[in-house]
Amino acid sequence: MTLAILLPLIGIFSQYNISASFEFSNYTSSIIFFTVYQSLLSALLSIVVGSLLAFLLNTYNNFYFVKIIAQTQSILFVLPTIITIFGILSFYGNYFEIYGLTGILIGHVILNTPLVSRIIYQSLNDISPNEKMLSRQMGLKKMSSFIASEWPIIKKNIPSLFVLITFICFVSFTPVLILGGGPKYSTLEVSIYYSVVFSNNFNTALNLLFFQLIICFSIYFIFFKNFRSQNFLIDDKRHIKTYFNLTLLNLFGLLILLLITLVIFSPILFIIVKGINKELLYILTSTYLWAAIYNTLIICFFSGIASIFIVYNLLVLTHKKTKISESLIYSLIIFSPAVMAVGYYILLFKLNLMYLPNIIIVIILNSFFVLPFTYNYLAPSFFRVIKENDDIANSLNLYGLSRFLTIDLPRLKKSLITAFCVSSILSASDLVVISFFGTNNLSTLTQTIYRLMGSYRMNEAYSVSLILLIFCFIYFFLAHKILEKNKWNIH
Amino acid sequence: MKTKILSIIFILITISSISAKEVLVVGTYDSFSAEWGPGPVIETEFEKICNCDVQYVSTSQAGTLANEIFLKDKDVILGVEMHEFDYKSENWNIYDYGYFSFIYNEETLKDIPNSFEELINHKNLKIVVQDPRTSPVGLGLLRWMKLTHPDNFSSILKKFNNNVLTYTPGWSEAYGIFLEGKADLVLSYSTSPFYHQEYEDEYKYKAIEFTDGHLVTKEIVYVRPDSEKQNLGKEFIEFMMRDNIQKIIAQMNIMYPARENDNNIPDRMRELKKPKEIKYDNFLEAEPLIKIWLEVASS
Repeated sequence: MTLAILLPLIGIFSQYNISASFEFSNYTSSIIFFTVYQSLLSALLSIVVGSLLAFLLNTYNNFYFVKIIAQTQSILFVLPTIITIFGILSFYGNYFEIYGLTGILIGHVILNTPLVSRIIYQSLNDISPNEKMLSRQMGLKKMSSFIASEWPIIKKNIPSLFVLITFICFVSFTPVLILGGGPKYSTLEVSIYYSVVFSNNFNTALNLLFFQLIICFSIYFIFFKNFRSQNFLIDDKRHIKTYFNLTLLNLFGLLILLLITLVIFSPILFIIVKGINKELLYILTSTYLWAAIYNTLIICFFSGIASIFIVYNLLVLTHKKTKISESLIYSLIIFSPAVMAVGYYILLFKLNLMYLPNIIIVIILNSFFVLPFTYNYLAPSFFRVIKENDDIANSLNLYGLSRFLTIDLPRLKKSLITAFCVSSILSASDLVVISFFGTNNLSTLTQTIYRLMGSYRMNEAYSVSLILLIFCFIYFFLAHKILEKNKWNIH
Repeated sequence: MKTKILSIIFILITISSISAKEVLVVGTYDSFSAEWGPGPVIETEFEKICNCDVQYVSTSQAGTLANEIFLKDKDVILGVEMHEFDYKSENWNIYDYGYFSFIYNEETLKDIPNSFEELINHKNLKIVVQDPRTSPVGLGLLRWMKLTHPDNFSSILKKFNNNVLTYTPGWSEAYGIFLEGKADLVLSYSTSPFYHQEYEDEYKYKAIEFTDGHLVTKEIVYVRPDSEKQNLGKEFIEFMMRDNIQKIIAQMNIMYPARENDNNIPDRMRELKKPKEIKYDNFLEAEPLIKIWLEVASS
């Protein structure tokens, strides 16, 4: 894990020239300020909207369509950022002065709300059957039931999610560039990218990266210190399942639910409208599409497996010292993707490993890049389940793999499947790794979309986006069907 | 499992080493080597005569073709913009060219500016251009503007910036926003309308012609000086200059063929009006222009 982060840096540092001086311009300092400002604000908004959505989804999950929304929101991550942004421009561009801070915030909220909501929703769902049985016997009022049951769970998720989203927005590239409307609204990441890829100036890149790290770690520690010190009484609370009554409050809740859903699903609507065009049939007969689908499937599946494997072992090894593992995991986001990819590129050359089949390199690097997300999907359930199962495990004298298989797996299964699906999907949406290590014969759907756009073929790009979406739906559906089929009857 | 993977890797390496044909590794950009680009056709045609195996390694990160790190292990680099080329190689040639230009939709824009002055005085015009830090096209605009306005470059740029809707990371995003109808003008090439005419039978997109001239951009193919395949590389470059290949490049890369003549220029491209070319002596350095742009556009 540590190696995953350190190795590319060794690659980069081999190009570092210590004696070079660094010019800290006015522009850089204003960018640093703006980056911090927009990322904190974006994270705050995403978390407010995401928590609200998760709560509403959980409250009304007796409805079939609500269940569908809850399950499918993860698919939203897979759309290439640029397509999401086109969707945003089409839907909101006419109603808002979109370019500037407003645009960036709208973009980041739409991009990150599903992430927040999916994770919190899962935690809210992650309550043992025994608790559910007990909870029905209690009758609390709406507000007090929220404070007693949902709020502690939401609150427990907030610190890590806040850090995650802040970091994502901190290194945001395309959304900030396009929706920001000009270099006034930019991120350090853009300057880092420019230094690494264009001006070939590794000194500047590393210096900027160094600032990025300092700031992000400050955010991490300030935030965690303030929030982690509170005692969460999550495990002593009981979950109350309310049945749906046609009250004004419930109708209002449903309305809000639909509204948020409409907003975050708007890019999908956009792609459905745009993707069904006269090029679609032609594309289905092309060889490049099927090759891309095949590559995407392979990369998705193995990156998903690999990242689950890494995160699970990391959790087992370090779940008593979460600070260390978390800071390691999160630093994967703030080490800018461009620097990481270039670092690996240099390193693989130095080690003469470029003869490795590119698909293996792509799978390995992708599984590293998605670790922060895999971690966030798995960790909350893991901590809860492990804590609850510790006593049983000790009394039954079960350790290691046998403990995992007999008592932890049945209760972690849902989270594992979701984490696997999301990690896979995120690997499918990768553009950085594939553009550095992909070859002509190794192109993914996401990369194909960009390639098509780069050759005037906008309609084809929309169609392939639609196909990518359908691919992800099927992937999710099959993964759940196949993996959930084996029932474990322990309880 | 481990042995399995190792043996697969081993087999792959052996397979690639026993094939007797000489391999020519060509580093290029995505849209050239893509299935719908000119790359595959050129590959097939060249392999018919060279007894070699052409392999494209493409990048979708603009700018990487000028970055030494990504060029290792490649014999030929195809697609370097003339400003980014270091001219150290002995074997190089220009294979196509074009002019930076603004594209508009004649159904929606009626009042067409024909110079930077008219453009900046047209207050309601919404323009989408590329960020010069991440896109060679965006950088091209700065050079173009500096050449037409050497003395008042920053004041022109400042006013121009007021009409800019947004600066996108690359050409694709900008062109996409334009096609979505979100901008009146997009910075692209004067040959862009050719694509819509040729492949979509759509004639509403037009390139603006500026009276004070346009900046030409040329794409270069060269053999890397440290490649062991100088001769084969040279053959490849000469092959690219043949009339039939030049035509394929023009047709699929949507640029003018470098050795333009009546046989290799596609009909509809010939009918496009070629803008006046700006003549100048020395290339303008990127860094100082970007610095001015940053000051102007971020204030």
